[in-house]
Amino acid sequence: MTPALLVLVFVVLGPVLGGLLAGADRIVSARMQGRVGPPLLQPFYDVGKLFQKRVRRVNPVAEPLLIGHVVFMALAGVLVIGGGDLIFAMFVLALAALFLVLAAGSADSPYSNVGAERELVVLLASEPFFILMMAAICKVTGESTFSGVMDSPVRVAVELPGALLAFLFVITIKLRKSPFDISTTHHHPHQELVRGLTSDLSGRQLGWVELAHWYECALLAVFVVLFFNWSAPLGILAFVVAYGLEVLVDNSTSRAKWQLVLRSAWAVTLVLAGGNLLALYVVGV
Amino acid sequence: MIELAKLPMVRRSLRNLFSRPATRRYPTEVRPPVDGLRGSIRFDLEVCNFCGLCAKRCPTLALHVSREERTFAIEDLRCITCGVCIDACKQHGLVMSDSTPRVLVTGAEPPEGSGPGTRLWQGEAPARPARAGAARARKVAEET
Amino acid sequence: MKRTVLPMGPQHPVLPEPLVLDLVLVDEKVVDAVPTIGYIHRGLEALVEKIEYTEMGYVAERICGICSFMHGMGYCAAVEDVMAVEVPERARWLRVIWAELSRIQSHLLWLGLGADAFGFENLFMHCWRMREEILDIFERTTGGRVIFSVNLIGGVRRDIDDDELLVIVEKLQELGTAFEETTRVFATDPSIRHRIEGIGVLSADDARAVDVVGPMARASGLAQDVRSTGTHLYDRLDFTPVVEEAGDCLARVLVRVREVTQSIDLIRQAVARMPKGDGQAISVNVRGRPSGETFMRLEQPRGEVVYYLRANGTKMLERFRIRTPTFANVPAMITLVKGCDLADVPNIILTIDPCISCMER
Repeated sequence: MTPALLVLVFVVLGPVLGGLLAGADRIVSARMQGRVGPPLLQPFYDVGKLFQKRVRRVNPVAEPLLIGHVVFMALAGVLVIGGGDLIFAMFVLALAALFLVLAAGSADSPYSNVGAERELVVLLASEPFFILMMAAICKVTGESTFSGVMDSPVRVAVELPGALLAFLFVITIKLRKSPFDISTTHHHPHQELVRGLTSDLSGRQLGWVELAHWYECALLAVFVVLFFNWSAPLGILAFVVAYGLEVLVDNSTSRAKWQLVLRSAWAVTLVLAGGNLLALYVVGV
Repeated sequence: MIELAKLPMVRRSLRNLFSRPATRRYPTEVRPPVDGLRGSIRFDLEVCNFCGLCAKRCPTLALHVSREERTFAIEDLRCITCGVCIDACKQHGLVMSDSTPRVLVTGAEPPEGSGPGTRLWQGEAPARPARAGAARARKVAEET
Repeated sequence: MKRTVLPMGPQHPVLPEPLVLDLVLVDEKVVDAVPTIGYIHRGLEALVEKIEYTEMGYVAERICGICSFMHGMGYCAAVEDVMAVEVPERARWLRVIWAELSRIQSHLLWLGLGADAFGFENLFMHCWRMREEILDIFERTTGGRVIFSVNLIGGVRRDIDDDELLVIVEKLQELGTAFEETTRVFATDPSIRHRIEGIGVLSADDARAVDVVGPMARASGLAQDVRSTGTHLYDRLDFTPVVEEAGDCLARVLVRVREVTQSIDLIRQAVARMPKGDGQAISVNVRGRPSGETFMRLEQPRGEVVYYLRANGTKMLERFRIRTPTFANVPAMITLVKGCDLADVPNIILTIDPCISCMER
């Protein structure tokens, strides 16, 4: 497939896959809790309804920021798939996340603001890992683009098992799952911050947040494919397994406090991903 | 993985995942009522002698009975289905039903002096035109 | 440092009932907490002057949906005390059984809410699923799941036949076995310990000083339980209060976890010791009008409740007053909240098991 076609596929099918994943997540979560759960397409019904609702604007600047959140999230994916520099794409991803923080911070409500502060902590915990991960992938393959990594004879997951494990750990933060759902949660209503980041968003605005999250999920799947660069279906399978594990952990733990999130995410990044890179240097790649 | 094994809830989550859920799809699947459920009050006009003992005992004043007009009215929204009226009724004219009616408020105008969701019965003797009887029932409700 | 005021309540996901707590935060540390109550005051105590004493029992039951049986029982017991009514023994045992069942369902409900406060959704669902079994027992024996209307001045209105009692005991034993797993989760799960161990510590001296009651006091090492005074037939059951020493949120959770098991055992004992056979009276006819005054104490799931009642020989009582356990525990909550993290606030609020509708009536 040409890069242009891949980009188109990502922009159109990315959110569809993300939404289906969210629907499957809700069914599996419900079953783990002994409930029947909603239909598979429920996330699409929800977002469809959100876009029909009247918007109550707490601060008019929030919506442009949220659209920026979606656009940059999609752009990060487009850059990764379309042959852009992978490390540069990571910075775009961080920028997209910042837009959400700004949107939450724009509301004059303590719940949103504390949520925004916690989201910054979350970014601080997870972003270093993603940059380190990309740097490591580029390092071991000697390439800096998606197609380059995919065509490389080096098997990334074999070279970087530590980084892959750390990735499993850090996506708990990205997917906003227990125990690391400190700033907001996706389909759990309860938390000391009410809804955290999204407390003051309504209607269409919440729809944008959800859409961006679907892009993010699709992008995370692409990252796993990068690890399994010799076989894309294996990568997709690995992502589904990883997501299943996340749901299991989500349903078997309580929410951690932010101090623990920051400390453990950095410890894992340094020990597993950093240690992995260091080991490669020692062996001499 | 080691962390996962340490979490005692993991086993429960997995067991739930592979067994039948405890909930049901409510509006389409309804649980049959249990024996002795206090659902709603059924009134039998045939045996009632309009003594008014039930109305006197009712803790929420949900019953309006008139011996003269031979009317019996129950305000469903006030009724707490405690069953005191049933215990009080010597004629066994009141029965506890295990059905829990979902819609209590009808479009009909409630008799004056009583709230929405009132069901009114008019006894036969002494024979009177139904319209006049209803008007009088309204007046009675006003007085009580 | 910049201060943020976070208005927690009256509507907030972690609060089961309307209570306002204005939290003054510096970063995520709580430096001050200002409570406001009064959102669900319904004036139920004043209603005794308007309705007959025989009907007030149904109102007393509606003070709160979780403590409903105990409130009805306390009111009826107080009136019986004033009127010197001798309640049939079987009725008194039935009250003990229903009261302990109420304690189990209240604690299971609370354990679920507590789990939700520290973000453990699955455990919340799990506890409430077990609670459903108790509600089913209530539904079969009283005809209601939340409001039972079985207390009557002079006894109870429904009997549970002997076979049914044995079935209930068997069901509870099964529930007790299933509950062992839950006990283990609350006691050993590292993510739960991370959230509640060592949080909101109330020492035994402080507990005595601010006069907390119920599981809150027992978690701080005070063996304080009205049931150990032996009233309401508890002297005929083997009973020692559950006590934990640590005084933190975890201890308060564990006290309630262990009390669920204890209540299952108490029901087993009660069924074994109550008079059996057909034709047992379950109520006596009460005639006349009460006159005099009394105090009645009960151990509700949330702690000691005190009913004061004064009657003047008319159909209506002159005064009815309830000192509910939450009212005794709220001052302790306010002192504990100061100085903790924002993330700890829900846990501290919930571990006192606040029942605002009881508190405000």
